[in-house]
Amino acid sequence: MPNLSPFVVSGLCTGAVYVLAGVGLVVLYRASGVLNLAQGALGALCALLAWQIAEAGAPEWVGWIAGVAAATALALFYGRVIAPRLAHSDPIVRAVATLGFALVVLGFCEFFWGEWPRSLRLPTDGYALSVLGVRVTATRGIAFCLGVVVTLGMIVFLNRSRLGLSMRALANDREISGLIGVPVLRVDAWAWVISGVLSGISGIFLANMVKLQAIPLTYLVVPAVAAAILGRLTSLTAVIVGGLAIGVLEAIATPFPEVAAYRSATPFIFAGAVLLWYQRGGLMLSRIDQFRSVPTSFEATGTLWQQLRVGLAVAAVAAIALPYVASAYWLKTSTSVVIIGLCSLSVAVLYAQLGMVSLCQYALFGVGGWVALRLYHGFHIPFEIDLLAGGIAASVFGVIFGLPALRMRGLYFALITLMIAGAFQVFISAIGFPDGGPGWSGKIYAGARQFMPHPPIAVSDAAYFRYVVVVVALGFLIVMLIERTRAGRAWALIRRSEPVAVAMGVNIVAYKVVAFAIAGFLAGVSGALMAANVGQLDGRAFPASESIMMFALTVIGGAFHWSGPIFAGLLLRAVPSLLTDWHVDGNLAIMVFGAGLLHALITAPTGVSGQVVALSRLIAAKFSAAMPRIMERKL
Amino acid sequence: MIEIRDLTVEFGGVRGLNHLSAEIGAKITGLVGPNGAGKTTLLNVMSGFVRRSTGTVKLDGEELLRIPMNRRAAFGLRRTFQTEQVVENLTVWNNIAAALDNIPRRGRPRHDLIAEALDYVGMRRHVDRVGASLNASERRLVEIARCILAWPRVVMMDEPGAGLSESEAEHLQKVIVGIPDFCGAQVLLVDHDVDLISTICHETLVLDFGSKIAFGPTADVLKDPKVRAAYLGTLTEEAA
Repeated sequence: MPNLSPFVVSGLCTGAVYVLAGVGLVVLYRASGVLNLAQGALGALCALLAWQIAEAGAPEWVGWIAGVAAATALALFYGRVIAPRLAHSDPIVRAVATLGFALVVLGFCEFFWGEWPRSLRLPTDGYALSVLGVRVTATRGIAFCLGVVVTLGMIVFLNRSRLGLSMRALANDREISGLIGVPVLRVDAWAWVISGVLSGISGIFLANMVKLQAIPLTYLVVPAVAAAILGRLTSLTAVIVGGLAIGVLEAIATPFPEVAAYRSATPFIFAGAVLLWYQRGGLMLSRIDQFRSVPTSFEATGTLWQQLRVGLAVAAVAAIALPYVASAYWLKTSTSVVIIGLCSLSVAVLYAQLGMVSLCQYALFGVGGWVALRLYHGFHIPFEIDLLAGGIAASVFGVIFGLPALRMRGLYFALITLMIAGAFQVFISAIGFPDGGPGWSGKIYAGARQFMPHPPIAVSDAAYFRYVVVVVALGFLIVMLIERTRAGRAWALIRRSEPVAVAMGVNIVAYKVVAFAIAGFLAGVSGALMAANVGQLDGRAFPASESIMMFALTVIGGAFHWSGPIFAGLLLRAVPSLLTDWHVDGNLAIMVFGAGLLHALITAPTGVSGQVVALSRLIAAKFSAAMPRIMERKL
Repeated sequence: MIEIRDLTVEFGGVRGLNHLSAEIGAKITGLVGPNGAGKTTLLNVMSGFVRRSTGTVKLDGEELLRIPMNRRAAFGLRRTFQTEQVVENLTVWNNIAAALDNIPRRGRPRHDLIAEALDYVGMRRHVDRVGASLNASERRLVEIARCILAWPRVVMMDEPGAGLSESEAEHLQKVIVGIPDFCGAQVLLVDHDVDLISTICHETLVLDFGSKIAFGPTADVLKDPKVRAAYLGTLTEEAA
């Protein structure tokens, strides 16, 4: 047994930073109802700015102040300008919108500073303290004290001050608070300021203790969310316990080689375990009077039969014609577009049919790909069986890990899927994808990686493109048909309102499980298709952010019409290829997609597909109105 | 027959219902009281959305609160909500079908059961319209059709008449009055409209601060000085 005390002490200090970030989350969530998932991205921006200013020769404290001020100003901007536009939406939508904000900030940081690993030095790094016989830098000591002091201070502040009282009133009921004279907007603004300041400070500390890089700092929000979940997103005392516990658990895994590679999955596992504990009390329904998140756009999308005719026609034309016109490179890209379209459909089913937000569909795509590759390399069985096995495995995997959250409110489900995506990132980058090696992981450590070929009935790229179009079209057909069944009607009731669905006899959890299992199956099949398209998959290509992008672009593409997921596939696969062709920085696309998500959530709920359908209707209507006159003139 | 015994619901320190007991046997029973009196809370306890701290509710002799929430519709407990809850992306027909999916059909064809319910409320002509295209009164009628199909025991309605025009309200009133004869169910009607209550309810239960202050034939109840005090508040105190 190694001596754990150094790890405990350093874990406590990192944990304190999670506490700081978590307190920011909870204070803001309580007062404004927004779970700010951009917290980490703001911290990253703050740290990078502080580094930049110190690098330019200014005193370090100028950098810190400027960084924190920038994070605060951005938080306040979001809180005053963007968040109010979603004030009447479901908490899930308000939380997901901050992901759009996070993408914009993250894209900006990556565009401006790149992925170059830097380190942010603080003057306190040079001094050391001795705690429990362990030497730690003064920075860590300060972080720990600050974490505890700020949380306790915040508890006193919320209980004693007038502003704190107003915040608690807002947390209880916004409308009644406004009626009895609480200045809602001003209190709201202060909550955003507090969360902005805390995100900046925690960003600086974490950049110092871990590394100064935008993406890892953006994920600071994950342990903070996990700590907040322990207190059901409302208790500050629980945040201290949760943050410190996560920090310590993460650190004491370091000396054990069996688990050290997976230790960054700690917050995900912690949050999952907490939810498992909380959901034992039984089903939690969303409030009856809650405004439903997902808008209805049935009229904008037409009947099933119309959708089927047009969709099948487009699929047939693409399958026949595209291989003749596209270059080899674009044919391969088009295949990816269609495959990603199927994965996007798995997001769309949950979002459009049930109002569920799943942020782990790309991870399930990875699970499907892993299983298909493993089976192919292990047993060389027919590709169709690989496909089915990949789909079933992803489905089972998703249901097992998603089940604790399926009994809870939608926001928790979104968070737990984010945790699944994050944990998958940690595990898959450690394990990698099978490429013909021995053992259960099937990984080759020395020698050339082996490829998974196209299926024998579709060996050429053109034939595989057609094969993929057929499989994906089948996936769309299955979804459209299920929407017409008992399950589809139950989904529609659940989306309308969970209490209404229950009152009408729907077993909500069962139908959510069915939906999540189908979505997992579609994602898994698409992962298997992708494995055979590329030949192998890369364990580093599955960060949680890809799953977030998958959700964002499904909303942007439009979740209510068959063409939406295809637009999402185009945006995710064809646009980056185009940008590379044009030598444009891909991080600009991330910023645009983030802004696009906000735009779609606020003003264009039907996404690109809804607008295209509306436009084509308009043209058709104009055309049919003009036709008689043209005919008359000819006569 | 609905037998409520010693039913108490607590929200924090506040009593939503306070040791309420009543035997509701009339075909149509009104449930009235000032805001916050516990009318909707009573409906929510029966649906299972709110947990009781004491008491029982029996429906036709069976312990209602022991039945799992999502089985109560099949058992015969149906309701509408204060805000209308028609599914906007389903057609009228499928709105009803969605309800019938979870109710045993006792061997009758689905088509007939749905058609009868829609015929009764007068929405048969509109089967193919989507929920989103219906007006307020049509939505209420669809909701009622969802409640009355396939052998309900109790239909609970929470302010069904709110926001309707006079002629629409008249039609709705006729529909509600006919429910017991159409399907044999008891109706429990929450409403603020005393005219409506006194016209169609055989009995009325008056709640105030979660307690029963009067219960009996509607005409007698509405004359009761305690009821007048609850509604008109300080007037009687000033007179005294």
